[in-house]
Amino acid sequence: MRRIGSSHRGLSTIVTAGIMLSAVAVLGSAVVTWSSGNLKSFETALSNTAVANTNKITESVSIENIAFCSSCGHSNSQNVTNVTLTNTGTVSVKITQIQLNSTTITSYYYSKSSPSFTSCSPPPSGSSTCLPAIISPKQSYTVSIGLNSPTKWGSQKPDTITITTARGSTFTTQATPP
Amino acid sequence: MKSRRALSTVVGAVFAIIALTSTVTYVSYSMGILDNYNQSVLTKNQQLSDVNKERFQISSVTVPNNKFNITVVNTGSVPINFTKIWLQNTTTAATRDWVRSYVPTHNFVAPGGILTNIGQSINVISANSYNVKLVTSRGNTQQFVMNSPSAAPLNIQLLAFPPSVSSGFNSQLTMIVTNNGSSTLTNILPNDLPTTSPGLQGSATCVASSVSPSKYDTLAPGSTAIFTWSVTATGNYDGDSCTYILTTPLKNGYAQTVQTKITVSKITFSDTLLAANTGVLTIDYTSWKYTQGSGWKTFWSMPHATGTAFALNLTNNDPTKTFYISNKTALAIALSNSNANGAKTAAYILYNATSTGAFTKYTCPGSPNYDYCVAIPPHKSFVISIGGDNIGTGASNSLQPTPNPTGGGTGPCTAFLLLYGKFDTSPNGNGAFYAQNVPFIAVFLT
Repeated sequence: MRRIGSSHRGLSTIVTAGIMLSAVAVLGSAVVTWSSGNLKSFETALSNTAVANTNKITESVSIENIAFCSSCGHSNSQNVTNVTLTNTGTVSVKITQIQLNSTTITSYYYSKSSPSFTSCSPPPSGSSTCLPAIISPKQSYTVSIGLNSPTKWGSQKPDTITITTARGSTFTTQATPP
Repeated sequence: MKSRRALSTVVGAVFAIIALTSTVTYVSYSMGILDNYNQSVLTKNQQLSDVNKERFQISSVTVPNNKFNITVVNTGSVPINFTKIWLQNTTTAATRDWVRSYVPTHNFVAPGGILTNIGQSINVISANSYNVKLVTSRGNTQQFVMNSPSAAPLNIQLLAFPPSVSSGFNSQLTMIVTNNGSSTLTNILPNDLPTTSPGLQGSATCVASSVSPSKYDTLAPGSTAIFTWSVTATGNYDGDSCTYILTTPLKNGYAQTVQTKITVSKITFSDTLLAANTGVLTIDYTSWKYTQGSGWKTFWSMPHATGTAFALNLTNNDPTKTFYISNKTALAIALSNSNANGAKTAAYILYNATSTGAFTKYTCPGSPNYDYCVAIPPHKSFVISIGGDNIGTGASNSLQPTPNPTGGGTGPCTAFLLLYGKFDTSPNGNGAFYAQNVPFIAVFLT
């Protein structure tokens, strides 16, 4: 009786221990897998956020020159402004929007030398509604923005020009037409 | 049982190590990311700081041989690399669409250094006006207008200091030009002052000197340039004026009208107004003297009934014109204790009166008009001798007081010099006639 009783206790103990070991292994693996996945996603999110913010910090666009062109649209139309942008940062910049006095420009004019800067397909030539322009570091890009006729740039009144990049940065300057 | 506990401990330890390793790896990775981000922020701050430290001034702009020669001084604390020059032809409204950009060959200047010959590769026309912009590698720009402050009206004032002057005196005409724009102006020089209507109007004659200084090489935003002229204003009447009306004050400048007026006024001596436009004759009373043949005397007491000559300094205060004395000039003498109708105006200008010589009436030496031969140049003095025979006797040519017409007169006596003449450039000219009554002497006839 003592041997039999002793043998039953040993079996159940082994079974229990096996079950416990299995449970710990399963649960442990699950927890490790879950936490590893979470950490991985956190890492990815952190990395993306950090890279995005770093790029946003390092991107810098200088609105180098603004030339109000009287007859670039048609004779004495006074509605075209040539804006020259220079990438003074260390990462490429994609220009997604240009505003003149808070009005989003929808009409651009591309010269034949411009298409290499654009991601429009097909590359625009002449008048187009397509922007963006991608500007590599240390490069300049001139875009002709047109006000819808008969709107003209205001004489002797400062115009505010705002550039928005794909990363959400904005660069603003003011210029006075002749 | 001991061995089973050890097994679960090992399993748990393995999981713990895995969890710990993952956590440490994540934290290390995060720290690395944050460090990179921090480095980016520091780098960006450094760049922004450098952008703010970048300062330069355009010290001069010339166009030798139709090529730009821009001189820039680096006044900041970081080196400057000029990457581009923008040029806009602003000569006329039709040329404003002409915009070009150039990459300068001379483009680097150290802190405190001077960079010259910028733009030597750019062909321009020196007579044209250009809007020029220098761009640095950090994106800073500075703009100036070459040869033409014509893009917009500047703050220009034209003033005369003083606005009212005596005839023949100078007023300083001052043009104050303030650059109220956002770009540096170059080669600021005023247009020549007008000499005729409609630029110069009014009844007075105004003659301006050359301008000083002749030119400002540059005029930074907010800075002021001051040009001055010395203007001599001459008028015939009080209130005569000349008005300068400048419709384009600066060469190649914006059409904006400025004007100022210079008025010719009278000279005020205390309460007395004397006509400034015809000059003023004054006498120096301390130089008064008389002689009756025995030396010049300065006493106020003198015997009557004796030939007498008076002399004193007469000054022509007109700054520009000579006064020619007419032979009608005379001395009106009266005894204060007699009736006024006893006075005679017999004293006349003497020729070369000396203390001992005979008194000879001055006569004009000849044609054309036998008069106006004694001249007093502008701002000069002249010793005028006036006299006559038997001052204070009953003779017809001297004092003959009543009620004692034959016995001569004694007592306090006064005399007024009645000066007649004209301001002119020659004795026979048609100048402005002028007469003045000058209190001459106060003597006591004994």
